[in-house]
Amino acid sequence: MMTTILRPLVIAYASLAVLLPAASLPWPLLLAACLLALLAIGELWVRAVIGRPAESGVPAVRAGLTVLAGLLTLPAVALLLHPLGAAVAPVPLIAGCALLATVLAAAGLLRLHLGRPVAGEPCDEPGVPAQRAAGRTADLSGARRRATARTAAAILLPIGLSALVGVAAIRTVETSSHPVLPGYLTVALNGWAAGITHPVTVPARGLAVPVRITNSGLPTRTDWLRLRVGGAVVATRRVTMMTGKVYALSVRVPALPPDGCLRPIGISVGEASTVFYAKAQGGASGRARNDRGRTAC
Amino acid sequence: MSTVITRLAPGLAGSRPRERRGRVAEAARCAITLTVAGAAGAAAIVVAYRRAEFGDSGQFGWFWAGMLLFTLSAGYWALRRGTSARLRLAVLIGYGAFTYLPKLLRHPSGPLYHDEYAHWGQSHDILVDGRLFELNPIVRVIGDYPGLHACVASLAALTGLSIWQSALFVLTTAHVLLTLGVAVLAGQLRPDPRIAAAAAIGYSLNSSFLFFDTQFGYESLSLPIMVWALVATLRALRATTVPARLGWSALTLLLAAATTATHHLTALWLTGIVGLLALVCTIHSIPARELITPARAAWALTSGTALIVAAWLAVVAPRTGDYLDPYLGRALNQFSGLAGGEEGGRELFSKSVLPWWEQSAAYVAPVVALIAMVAAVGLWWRLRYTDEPVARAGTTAMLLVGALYFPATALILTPAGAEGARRSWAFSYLGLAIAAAPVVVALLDRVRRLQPRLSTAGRTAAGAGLAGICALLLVGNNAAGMNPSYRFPGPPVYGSDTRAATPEVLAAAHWLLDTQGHGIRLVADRYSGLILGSYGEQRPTTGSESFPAYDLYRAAPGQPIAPALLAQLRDWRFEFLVVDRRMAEQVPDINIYFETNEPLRHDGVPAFDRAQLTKFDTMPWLIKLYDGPHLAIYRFDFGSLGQPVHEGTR
Repeated sequence: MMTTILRPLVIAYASLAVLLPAASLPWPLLLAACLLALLAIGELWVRAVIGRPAESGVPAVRAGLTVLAGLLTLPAVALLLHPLGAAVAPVPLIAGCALLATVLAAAGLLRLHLGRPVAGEPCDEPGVPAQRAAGRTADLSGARRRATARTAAAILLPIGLSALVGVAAIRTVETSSHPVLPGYLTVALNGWAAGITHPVTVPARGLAVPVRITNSGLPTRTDWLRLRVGGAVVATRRVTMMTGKVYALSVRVPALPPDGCLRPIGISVGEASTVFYAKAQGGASGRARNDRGRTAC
Repeated sequence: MSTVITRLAPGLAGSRPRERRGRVAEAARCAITLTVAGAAGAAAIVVAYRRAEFGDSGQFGWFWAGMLLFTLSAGYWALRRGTSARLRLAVLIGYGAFTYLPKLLRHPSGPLYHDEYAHWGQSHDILVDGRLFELNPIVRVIGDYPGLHACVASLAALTGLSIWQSALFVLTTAHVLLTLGVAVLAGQLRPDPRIAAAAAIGYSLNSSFLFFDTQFGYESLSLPIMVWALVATLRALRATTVPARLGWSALTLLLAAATTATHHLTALWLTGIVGLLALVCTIHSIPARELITPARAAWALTSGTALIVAAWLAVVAPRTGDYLDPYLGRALNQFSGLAGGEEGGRELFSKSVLPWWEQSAAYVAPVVALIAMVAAVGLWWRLRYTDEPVARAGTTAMLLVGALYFPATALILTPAGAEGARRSWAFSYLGLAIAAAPVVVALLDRVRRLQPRLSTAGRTAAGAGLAGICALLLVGNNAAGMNPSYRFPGPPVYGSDTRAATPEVLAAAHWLLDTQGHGIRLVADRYSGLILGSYGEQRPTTGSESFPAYDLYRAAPGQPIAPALLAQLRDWRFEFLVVDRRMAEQVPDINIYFETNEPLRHDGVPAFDRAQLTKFDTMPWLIKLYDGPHLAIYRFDFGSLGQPVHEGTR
């Protein structure tokens, strides 16, 4: 009887050891080991909490609860790690799962020890009337093994066939052609200019502002690149943008009048534009008032 | 009917070699039939999606042809009298797996639905930072319910799979567990595997089963946990020994805790259903004294479950009430307004692209459900002296849960209640399916008994009638429960959650992430926010009643922004403003710009004009860093607020 507890415990330990990051194994192996560990821990949950459940109607109680308990082991361990300040990471999760498996195995053994076997069955749950009669016929260990094998086949075969059909359908969707999505042209401040957080100070020699222009999915086109200072166009240049290309350009902002006023600096290509604000280096305060009492800017 | 209830479960008793060979041959036939039907069904669904993607007609027909091909085949094998218990189990697993395909094939490579972006982002953050209970920028409350995210992130951390791959694994497993769980739950009341299978297939006809409860959302995991918690509850009530009762009760409470840590509404429904079971057991225990102990156990489990839920809501997730309250409160107000003759209700299928037969099926489905309910009540009454007490109490509780489907159907007429009504159907249909399943089997048995007197045409008509009802419910419920843009792909549409991920928005999200880093607080509309908050790894907000961020957009050019709003933006360290100029050109597909409570016009005219959205270009406290055909990104510079700006170069 103890093997029903010790076998899943050993499987859980062995599978969790495979999952240790130091092993650096490929993901298919890790996935298989993880599933095996979770199923083993799920089985331990079932054994520890309810013993061996009787089936009723569709014989899915034991398998369903094992899979569900195994699946819920992961969030349970993650939630238990949270108050301890441990992160949701491989090593704490593996340690937590191993500890949980040990506790569940101990609880399962205690349950076996305290339970009174009925007709060779360790404290089985009687269940609904019809299944009590059905359960009596499966008391031989050989018959039970064959029944377990048939149930396993009934579970694994549809999963395998569904996976086959599903993977083929997904491959078809992913590899087939899709309609062309609309293209776009974007303009963005680039380099240091992408980090502008406050008005920029323009020195007397002017300022080189990096911009990035992206043409994705639009046909090759030529547009005017315009520099505006205070709303007025001060410089223009024609730029040709080829399909699927990203251009890093530099736009020179000329020196601004040293009046301390903020001026919007706009850089545009076609309809797209960027705007930041600048003032001349060493200029007077923008709050200075003129002789009629209005602000100078 | 009593013979159906007390018959031994086929396949659980020992069998002779000849019988075994027959069973193997039967299993092989079933496997071949369903694999061929599944492959053909999947191919038809792929064709439907491709037609929708390229704008060709006929996607609805292809989709339902594919779905019904497998559903009806699986239904035949699951309800067939001669099918063994294990074969029925295999059919239900295959059915659960196949019914995950429509959602999976809709977008196999990543999140697509509104809530999926939020849950995907939340799980991704846990994988990166290792921390639970972090605030989610898209759906505020989901961080307080980390069950699904912790499960997915842990699986990804242990196996090296991506978050999306891990989620698909968890969700497919959960979907199959839900199908099996409903069958097992029905089996706790009546141990006839055909009734169990009928309940599982009946439940799968609800409006959420194919698309909503298969998405990367917390309901998709919490529903199966709830169903299995109800299985454990019934087992605890049925237990005849103290250790068995304690064991199943402990399992119920563990699963209740898991449900609570995963999803708020499911936890509340679980408490309600267990409470209803306790109440019904108590009432039934007056004439049936053997129900006194089960009633006590049921009340103990109700108290335990309620305590877990209340403790979680009070200690871990106190924001949940504020999150749920507006939905329910406004829905009830609107419903009472409608009852009082006020205007403001929803026009069902307004401007819908659904074909007439889907819309008609949506209207007929509740009527069919009502007929099934009446028949289930009739059967329940007829079996009142022969039913085993726990089965009788359980059936009564399921009938009451199923009856909730009908008032929720009325709520669909209110704009605020429609969403809640749809979500409630996944729960109320559980009661409906379990209560009506014995009726289906009883009808099939009656047709079988009449066979000698029925002509072949009559028998075929009876089978076709049942298949037709099944098809009608499946089509009608899905038409009523899911927006076509969620069900089918198509060209980019402004204001559609599922078609928001245009190359332009994705490029903007990647630019922001590459140049400014992640985790930045920004103001955005609903659709840009979805992409920026998930693929862009930022923390967008769309505003709310107490934080009306949308007032930034609403202000007319020259009109000052409310100082209180500016103070909130500055104090809460918002760094960017995202402006989608399509808000001035088009009405969103789902008629929401920011959030459901937004104080904007929804009368078929865009709620903004272009000047409202381009005014930011002339505000010195906003630096325009990025611009595209529709989308602009501005950085807040609150230090420059009120600074005068000089127009002109001199």
